[in-house]
Amino acid sequence: VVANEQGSSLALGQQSGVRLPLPDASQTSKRNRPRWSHGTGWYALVFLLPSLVLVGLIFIYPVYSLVRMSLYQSLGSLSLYVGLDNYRVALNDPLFLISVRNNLVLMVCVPVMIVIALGLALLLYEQRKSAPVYRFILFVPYIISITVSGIAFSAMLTKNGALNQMLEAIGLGALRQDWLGDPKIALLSVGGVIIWREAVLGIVLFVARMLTLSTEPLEAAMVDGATRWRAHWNVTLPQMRGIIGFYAITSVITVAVWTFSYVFVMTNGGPGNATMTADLYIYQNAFTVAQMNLAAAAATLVLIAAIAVVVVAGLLGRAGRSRGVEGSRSRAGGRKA
Amino acid sequence: VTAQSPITHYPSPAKRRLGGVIQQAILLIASVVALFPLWFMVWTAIRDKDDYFRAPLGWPRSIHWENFAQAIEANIGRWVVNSTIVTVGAVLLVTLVSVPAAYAFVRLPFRGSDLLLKLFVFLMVIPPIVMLLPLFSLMNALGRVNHFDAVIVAYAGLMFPFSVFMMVRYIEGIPNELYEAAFVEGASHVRILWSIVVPLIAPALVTLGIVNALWAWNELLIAVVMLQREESRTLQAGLALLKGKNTMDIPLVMAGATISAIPLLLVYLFGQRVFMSGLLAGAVKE
Repeated sequence: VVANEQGSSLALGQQSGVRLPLPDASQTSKRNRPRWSHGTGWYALVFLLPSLVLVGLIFIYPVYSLVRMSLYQSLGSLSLYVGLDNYRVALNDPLFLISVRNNLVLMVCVPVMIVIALGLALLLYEQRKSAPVYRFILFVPYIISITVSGIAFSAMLTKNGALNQMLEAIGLGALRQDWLGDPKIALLSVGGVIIWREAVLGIVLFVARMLTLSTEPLEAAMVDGATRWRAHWNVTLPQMRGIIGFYAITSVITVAVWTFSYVFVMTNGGPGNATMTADLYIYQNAFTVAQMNLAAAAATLVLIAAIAVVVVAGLLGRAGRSRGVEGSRSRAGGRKA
Repeated sequence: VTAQSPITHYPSPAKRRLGGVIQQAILLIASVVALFPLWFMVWTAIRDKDDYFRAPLGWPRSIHWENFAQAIEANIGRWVVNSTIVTVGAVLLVTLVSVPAAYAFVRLPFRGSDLLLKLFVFLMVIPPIVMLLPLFSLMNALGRVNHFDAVIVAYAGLMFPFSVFMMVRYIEGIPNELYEAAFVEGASHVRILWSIVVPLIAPALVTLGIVNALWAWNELLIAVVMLQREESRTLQAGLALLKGKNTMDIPLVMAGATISAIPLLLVYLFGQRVFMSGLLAGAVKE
């Protein structure tokens, strides 16, 4: 009655920074609604009161306060209304533009993560006997905190670090790089670490989805002469559209607004500002150079961007479904049996 | 197409075996890539500085367990305690808040409750960097910066949308008849929640607890901002700043990182089984 494979993958999915509901979230079933209803209003209020207080304190008030903060300029104890000036300053700040550009560059991680996760998920599906062992190992990057793996990677990626020594050892010394110290490639190195960790979520989601698929269409395709991989391409992949889309949105949000831990630990935005990202920009403006109002304007822009991604993704999803695309949405969320 | 046995369309056994070997090889390489940083961390934590700079990948010339003792002296013992307090506090708080809320959404619907639940779930999208500045100002005004309660409440709030979403889905799975029987006997909602719902969703509560605990234990941004005094830091914040300070003594930092990863790996070893037992318990009840 309680969980199924998807339920667990959903729970595990929470390990990433972004925590999104699976595609059919928040559509509660009406089937179990109680039949009595008199006098329940007070109970509902009592049961919901703590959560309303918590949400009010941690989400509603801060968002209100943030937008307000972004419209004012503090001078000592004085606060002046300046309209959209802070936004103008942020949008004309080369550093903010570099940050946003870097977040956009990091978007190239998303398709790479999808391809790697799909490939490994298919291999786990094919190699069912040894899959539990591999699944256990492949999940480890997600268990270790970004701080800890970031520390390990920054040591490995130095000029005389482990990666370069390995390259030398296998005769690829020409590929030696100052991975995190060279402004030209530092951002890509950070992207590599993001892929290393965040692809895990994709593997878990994709394997869970594959296990819910019927094997009959796949076998039918092979009986018709398709090779195993061709059959996966034509039969398995189309059925996974919903969950791939979900993972893509989650990942886009991750690289757009949740990169703080990676860059804070590995590069702190450097060398120069080569790996500065939007959330680190906000953090630095707010807490190291005390430009709270500017930081608030930038944070408001980040909030708008995050909401826009979700809304656009929702609209795209709806458009896709109404065109009659494989309706994996209803199944991807893993309704209870 | 002539009638052919379907079997002949499959690749020959030799070819299939080769394919299997290649697939195993790819999975093996992926596993090495996944585990390498962890191995490297431990490998570095047990040697001395000079040895590390001489050959980071070579065999350690001698093993230096005292790095761990040194790391613990460098406040890491304290930070482990702090992280534990913050994690346990936040997990308990969010559970106490989200379970009654989820019960209300499922059993006590009112006009607009669906919309409210949707709003709660939607909050998952908002990154903490957005709330951080006002939260910091608020906690600062209340004198709660450097106190664990500020971080516990912030973590509980950030974990709440996911928690209430997950709890709603589990509570929905409880059959109506169980409630009706209890209601006929005159049990109140509080009693139904406590003696019927909570025992039934216990496996889910454990799963939720573990997932939330991993998140809270690993959180960095809020911890860095809200806990600024050296002795009140969490493990993640402490390590991140220790790394910034000790660019030369990498083995020491790695020893600290290893210490911080051990509880997580233990939870993972143990937690995998808990996830499974949660799944099986559900299956049995069906």
